[in-house]
Amino acid sequence: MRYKILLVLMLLASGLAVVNAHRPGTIKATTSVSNPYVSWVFAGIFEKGDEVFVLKMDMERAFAMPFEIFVPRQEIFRDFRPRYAIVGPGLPKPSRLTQALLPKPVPKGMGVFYEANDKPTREVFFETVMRRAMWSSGTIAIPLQKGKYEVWMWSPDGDIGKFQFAFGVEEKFDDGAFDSIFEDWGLYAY
Amino acid sequence: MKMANPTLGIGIYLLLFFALLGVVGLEGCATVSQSEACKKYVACLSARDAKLGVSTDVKRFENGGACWGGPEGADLCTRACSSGLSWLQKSYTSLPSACN
Repeated sequence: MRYKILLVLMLLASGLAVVNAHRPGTIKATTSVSNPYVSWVFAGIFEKGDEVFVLKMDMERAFAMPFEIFVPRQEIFRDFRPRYAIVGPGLPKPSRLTQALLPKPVPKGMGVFYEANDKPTREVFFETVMRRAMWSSGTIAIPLQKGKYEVWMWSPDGDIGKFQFAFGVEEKFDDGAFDSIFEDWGLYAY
Repeated sequence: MKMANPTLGIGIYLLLFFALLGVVGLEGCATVSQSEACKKYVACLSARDAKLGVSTDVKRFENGGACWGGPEGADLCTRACSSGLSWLQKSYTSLPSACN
């Protein structure tokens, strides 16, 4: 028994030693990001398949950071490839073809970065906090200017399932950063 | 066979464990050099900023930035910089030569 307790403690401590993580949040319909300058992972679920989730980011200064969208690496999600678009100032004006692929019109004067999530082979990412493997759209660094941005996330074929949208690098875990994991455990621990 | 001193046995396991944890922890905290991909990405944005008259915060990708605190983050940033530079090249027609 004494050795079992020791083993559990060792595993827990080993996990903590190599943690490299995003601050968790839950996305429901429209969600505002309180601090877009730190790294986040927003978890959500397409329950009907026709939802368009919106993440609002108010950038007070020009800032470049990585973005990517994940789904659980499970056989049932092999063809589940939700897309996302970053919409805001300074990004390229969408072509007619790109606009046709988006779930709603890009507002006048705004541009878009569109992620089709259509790479033949997706990157696999092992998330070290919840210890889950995810398929990624592929990380990409996008420079944002000062201004208001929206990230639209949708499931083009109406597929349903859980997803996570991650961005940023700098970590910040104070002020109850992990509360949403415990509130929405099932979204993170698929 | 019964161990002569069980406390000593646990002590040895603990000692080995913390030695291992130290190695793992040091590896996790090891700093990594800025990658070539991020050097190019930062140079491109810096030249583009000068042209646009803006100042983009790229600290995380710069040498000594948050990207280079360990191998996992460094790998993520390197891939992000590489994809990001390719996207800039495809998406904007009048980029400065530093972006080529």
